[in-house]
Amino acid sequence: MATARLEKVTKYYPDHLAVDHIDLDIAEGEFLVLVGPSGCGKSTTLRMIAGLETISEGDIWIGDRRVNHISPRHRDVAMVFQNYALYPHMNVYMNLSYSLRLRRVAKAEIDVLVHKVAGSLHLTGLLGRKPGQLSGGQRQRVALGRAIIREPKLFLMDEPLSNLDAKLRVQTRSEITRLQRQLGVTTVYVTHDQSEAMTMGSRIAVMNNGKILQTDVPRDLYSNPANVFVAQFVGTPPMNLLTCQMDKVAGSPRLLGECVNISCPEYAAERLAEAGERFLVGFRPEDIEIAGDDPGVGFGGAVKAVEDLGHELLITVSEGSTQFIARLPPTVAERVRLGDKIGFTVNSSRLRFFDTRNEQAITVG
Amino acid sequence: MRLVDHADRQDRWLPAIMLGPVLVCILLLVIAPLAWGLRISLTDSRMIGLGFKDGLTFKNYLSVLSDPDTWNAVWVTIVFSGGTVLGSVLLGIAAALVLDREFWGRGIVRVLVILPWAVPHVVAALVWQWMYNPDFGVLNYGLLLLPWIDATPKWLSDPDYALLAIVLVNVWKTYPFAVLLLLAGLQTISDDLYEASAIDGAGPVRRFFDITLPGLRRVLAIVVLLLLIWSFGNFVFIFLMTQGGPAGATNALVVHIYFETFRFFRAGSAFAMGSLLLVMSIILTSIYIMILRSQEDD
Amino acid sequence: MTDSPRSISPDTVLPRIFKAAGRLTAAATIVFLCSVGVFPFYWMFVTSIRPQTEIFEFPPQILPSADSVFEPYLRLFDETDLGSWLLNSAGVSVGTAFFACLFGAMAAYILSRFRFRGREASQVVLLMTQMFPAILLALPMFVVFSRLGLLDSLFGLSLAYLAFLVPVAALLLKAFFDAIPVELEEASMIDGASRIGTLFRITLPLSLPGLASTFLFCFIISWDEFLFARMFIRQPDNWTVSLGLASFSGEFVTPWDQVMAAATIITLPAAVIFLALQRYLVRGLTSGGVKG
Repeated sequence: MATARLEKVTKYYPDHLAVDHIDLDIAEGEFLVLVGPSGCGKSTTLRMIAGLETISEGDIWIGDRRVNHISPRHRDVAMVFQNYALYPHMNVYMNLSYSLRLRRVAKAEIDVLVHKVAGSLHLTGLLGRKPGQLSGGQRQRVALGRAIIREPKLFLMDEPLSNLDAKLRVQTRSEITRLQRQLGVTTVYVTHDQSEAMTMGSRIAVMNNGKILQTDVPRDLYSNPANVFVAQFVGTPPMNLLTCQMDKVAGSPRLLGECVNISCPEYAAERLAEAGERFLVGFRPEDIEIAGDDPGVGFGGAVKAVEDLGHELLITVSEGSTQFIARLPPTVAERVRLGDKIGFTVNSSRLRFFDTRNEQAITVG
Repeated sequence: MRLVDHADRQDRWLPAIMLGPVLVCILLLVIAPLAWGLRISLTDSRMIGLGFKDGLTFKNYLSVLSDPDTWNAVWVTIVFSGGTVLGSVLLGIAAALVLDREFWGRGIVRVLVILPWAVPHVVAALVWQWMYNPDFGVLNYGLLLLPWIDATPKWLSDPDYALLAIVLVNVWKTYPFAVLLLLAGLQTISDDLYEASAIDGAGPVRRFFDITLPGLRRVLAIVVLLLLIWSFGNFVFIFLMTQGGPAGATNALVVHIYFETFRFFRAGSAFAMGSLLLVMSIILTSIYIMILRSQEDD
Repeated sequence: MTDSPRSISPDTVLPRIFKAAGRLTAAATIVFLCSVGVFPFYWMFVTSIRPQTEIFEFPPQILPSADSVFEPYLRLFDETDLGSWLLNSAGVSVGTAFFACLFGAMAAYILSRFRFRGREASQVVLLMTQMFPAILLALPMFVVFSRLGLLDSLFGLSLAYLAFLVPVAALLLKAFFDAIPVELEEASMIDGASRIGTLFRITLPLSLPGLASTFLFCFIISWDEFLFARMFIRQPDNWTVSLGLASFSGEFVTPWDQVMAAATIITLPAAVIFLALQRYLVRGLTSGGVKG
């Protein structure tokens, strides 16, 4: 168990910048998820922590040791690879015990540890098998077992679930979080799947183009995205973002735009006026509800598509070139028809604002 | 694929040590000899083993290029290589098409077809020499069994037939290689294409020219070049079966160079001819490498 | 006349005829190719067991003689040095194959796993070296070796073979290393092994089939080689199988039964190895060549 710290860590290849001066503080026992689209530099970051890539600039600390020039085998980290990287010529027992044998742990002790780990991962009956004789899920558990058997300072996991089918993936998520909590080992977990990140991470760092855009606990990431990218990357469907501008109508400030006609919350008016003529107003699909009688005010437009998921409705509403999605309870199904005009009200405290120029969140009030 | 870029100290000196033997090998046993040979070709020395005190001269090149024997050798090399390629490719395509079908016993047939490739060159030379024997050879016996043939050639000792005879042996030895490559190439052509074309109404002949041949284009290019390069350097068959004769009919460059050195002790002109051969090989090899490269981009 | 369902229209007959003709052509091609492939071997063996008195007969008997003898095989070992040729060839072939694999594997590992300047270029150089006609290397090497006193020695011959076997082995083995996922080595290094330890515990065990194939491939190339042997070796004591066999052909009356017996013996190991390796060789010679 240890903390880990990344300071201005940078990786450049001859032809491009993969990781761009990122800072990250990982607390002891924390489950930190690095999430982002493919090619955003999250795997490279993880591999630099593991020692599989050299660090072009910056420092990485594990505990109080600077590990920039320490080889992977001396960093005391364990890693689970996307394709599991089980040694195909060794059976499960030998795979699990590989790191212990390299450290010349006594045979009897190895045997005890292997059986303990195998027991906790339901692998006891498979110890004699080679990886080629195992199912995907079993291989995945062996890969996990190989990581936990030596109680390293850090767990590093590189998309460990992406080779599993959808159902097994959801099961294994909770299995991994349970194990991590039980062992209390600091973990860095890389994934491109934001729902995996949201359900598993105690903290999440969202990366794009080699930069960390926001590091936060899942709830804050969801409700207070720091910029347009995070707002649209986290959540399915993503946060609605509508372009609008502020106008005084009959003395009180209003936000107007395609699909938008709402009164501007007073606490925000001053900051928004400073932010420029046009900005983005954002809200989550579940934060709005169908308005009673006055569809001219609030968010509105024509119903363009209705997706009935059984437990909820996803309704796409559009006006001009703008559209947004509303998530509604199934009870309103009869009231929504394709092509109908429809209006929504919103609790103004749920509204978020973003600058159109730098795409950063505008903090109001 | 990600390549290793570890923060491991061993990684700094390891590549140099591990590549060392190969580098030494290439430098001392390939590049140095080639350079040495080039240097000898530019001296006046007649005997192998003499130094370079004479200074540079293009005499060897001039005399070699003005010697009709050289051009005969170039011509024989071209006919030999071209004939080998033509024969191997045609036979190879026919065999590959047949072996690509499913039929009972295909595994064994495949092995039997490939068998000639597996025989050592010297063995092939001697066995064929025996079969070509003008008086007791089984080949002439077989020909005489055919109703329309009543006279048989003397094969290796007949200037009109010797080169053909050697080309036939070389085709026999190399076409299995073409078969293996073409079979692999056929497997990369998707069945969907054939089905689509059949649905569009194309007959077997159309399908061959519209789908099979274009699909094999790249493999064919590789086969042609490799066989050309190998035939250029083929020494054993000619040396053992005809010694370049009769009357220079099979005197290919490689054999010509060998005899210039060991029979006439004209090292300078031998190496000058070697340089010609080198240029021809480098051109073909470069094309070959370019084709392999372009394959990667697909 | 009514159309009975059994009536056969030209539309269905023609394709059937084509199909039957196609099958017949295919069958004929198969028979032809098999005979072409097999007959010389058959003839070699049949000649080798024919009594000397029947060899120079015309027309020749196609079937094995009723009085087949294996005596030429015995005479070979008594009257010629076939035994020592076999030993010489085996020694040279095993030695060169071993060192070609060793040096080739070292280079192949680096080419497969490390990124460095000149990596692409060195692969092209490796490929080029196996493309030159052997005589271009043999002649100058002959001059150099004669000065170094390496002529007429099996060691010198082996050294010359390494010139073209090491690059070939490196290219073939690189294709094998490329097929082993890098992650296995990375996992091993994170698990606590050094690079060398990883090489011996993970990479080499996994590439054993490749090493074996490459070894055998180098073995038969040395076994088959003639030009270098012919130029470098003089003393009959040092002859390899190629030289020994070729030495028959210059004689005034060739003892064909003995030649074919020797040829049969020499062919066997090479043919067995070759056939076992054929699939892999094609892969190695083409795509494996310069694939990065």
